[in-house]
Amino acid sequence: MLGKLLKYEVKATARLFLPLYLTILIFGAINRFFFAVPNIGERSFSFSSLAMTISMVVYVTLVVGMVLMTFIVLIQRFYKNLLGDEGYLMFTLPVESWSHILSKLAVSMLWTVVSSGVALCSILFISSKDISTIELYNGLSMVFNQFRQYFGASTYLVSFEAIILGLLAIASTILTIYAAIALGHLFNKHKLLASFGMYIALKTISQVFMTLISFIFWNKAAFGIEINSIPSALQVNNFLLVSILYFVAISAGYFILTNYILKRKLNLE
Amino acid sequence: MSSILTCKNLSKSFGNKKALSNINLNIERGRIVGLLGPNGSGKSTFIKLCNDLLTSTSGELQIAGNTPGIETKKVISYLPEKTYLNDWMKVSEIIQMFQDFYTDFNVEKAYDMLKRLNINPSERLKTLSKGTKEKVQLILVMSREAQLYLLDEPIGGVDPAARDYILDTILGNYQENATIIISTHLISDIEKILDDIIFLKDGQVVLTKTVDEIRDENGKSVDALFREVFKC
Amino acid sequence: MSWDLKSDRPIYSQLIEQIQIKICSGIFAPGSKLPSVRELAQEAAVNPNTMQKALSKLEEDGLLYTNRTTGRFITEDVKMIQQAKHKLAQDQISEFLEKMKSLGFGKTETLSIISTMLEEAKK
Repeated sequence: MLGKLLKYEVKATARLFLPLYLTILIFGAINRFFFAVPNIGERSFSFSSLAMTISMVVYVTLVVGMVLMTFIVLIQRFYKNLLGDEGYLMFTLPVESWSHILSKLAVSMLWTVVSSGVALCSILFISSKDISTIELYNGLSMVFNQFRQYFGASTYLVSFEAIILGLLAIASTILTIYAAIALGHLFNKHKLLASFGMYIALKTISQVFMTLISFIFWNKAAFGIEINSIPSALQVNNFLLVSILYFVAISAGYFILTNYILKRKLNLE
Repeated sequence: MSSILTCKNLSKSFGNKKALSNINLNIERGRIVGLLGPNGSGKSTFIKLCNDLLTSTSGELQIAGNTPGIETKKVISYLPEKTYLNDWMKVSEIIQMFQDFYTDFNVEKAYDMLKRLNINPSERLKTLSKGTKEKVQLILVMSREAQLYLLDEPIGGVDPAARDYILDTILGNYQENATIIISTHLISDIEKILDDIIFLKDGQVVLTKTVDEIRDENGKSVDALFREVFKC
Repeated sequence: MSWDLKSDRPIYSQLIEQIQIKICSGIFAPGSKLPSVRELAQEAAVNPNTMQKALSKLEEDGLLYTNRTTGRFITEDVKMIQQAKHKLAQDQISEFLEKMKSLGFGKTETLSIISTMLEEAKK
């Protein structure tokens, strides 16, 4: 059942994102083309420099738009599809409420990651005139080798933890938003305003929790937070693990809260 | 088990407001039941409770032996008052979706009904008129071979010809031994198809009788009795 | 086929009457097969349970019979149908006579009004 929810969630959102991604990549290509024209920046007020400027402006607008849209779609899918009229359809499907949350979370994360990827790729593509692929590859290899030297055997572990941490950070942000929307739903009037207020409240709680964790784990031996020393591999590892713990706790907490509200406190208009 | 729905002392409050108080009902299988009452009497609240769209404040509610949850959702087909379809889908896609999630969905029946109504499956729901969207919803609901059909105001705000069509669709498509509960305040149109009626007033059951008992004992139509009972 | 049903009397008794009329007037021919309960109910826009009740009563009375494998049929007993038709006529007439009585018409007067009207109807 979760698979089916995922299928329809992707269907509902892909039709918004894919055309946008395509447009961004096209404009990326257009800008790349402009950059390739020699001395293009030097002749001011010429047609080509005007065209290039417009193209760049459009491109940047699109990228900013994409970031905004990822954010807005994320919210709207949860709010409109589950708590609006469509909720009558969704919540009468023979599916657990946590499946709804999980499917929307997974797809929101997907688009967040893909949007970031598209932005990054298009930037790299545009700048590939000045920085050749080979130079880039060499630069990255150098950084990677430095890491390898420093961390030794645990390089892969640390990289893995860093990726997990990144994903968990995204997940916890999304789940905080979901919980805020769910809490806002409990109010009879001004639901949107209430959700916004709830979001601020939840963020505050998260911050307090983080401070709490920092105090508990503030152990110089474990972290070695000395101003002038570079943390050892083990200390970095510990830091990553504790951060992961923090995000897991926040994510789980807000997931459970959201699920409880959807399961027991649902009240569709 | 011949009861499809039982509830004991079922109550639902929203803050201080009591929407339903101590509802006791026993609804048999294979009956067409009218849930009748003026606006605000608690009909929609009751139906939402059956669908697990609301959680009761107290009391018990069981459908086909289960409390509202996944198992009951599998056997209940619900037609809400609103249009609940996502606009961006095509008719064929929403049919596919129902087929994916409900094992008792009869695809052939659905397409058959669409054809008879001249609704093109490749049209986007967004482009359909309100009346047509309502018909699509009805088709989706009646194409399910469910044990309990919950229809909330199926003929409200619809022209007389469409009303006949809707009643005809309901009669022609429900499963034998399935129960249909129709919640409405437009009684004269549907009373001929009802077996039993439940009068709901201010969140309480004031009368449960078979339709024949009413006509025999009172010598009047359900509509006339309703006007008496609910006189303002 | 038209079904004229009022909501203030039990539907099933109205269905019994109307099916009897349809049998007597030949709309449902003797020996012919009836549509299924569902189809009849849909046509009459009534509850299938109600239709079933009416059909069962008519079976009891002998106007219909069920063959377990092939379905429901109108009786072939033409005499029985005639009897039913006769009974319907009697019911209509006694209702009429009651009404005339309540209006203050005597038997002779009633009969003469009927004769006059029938004469005029011939022209």
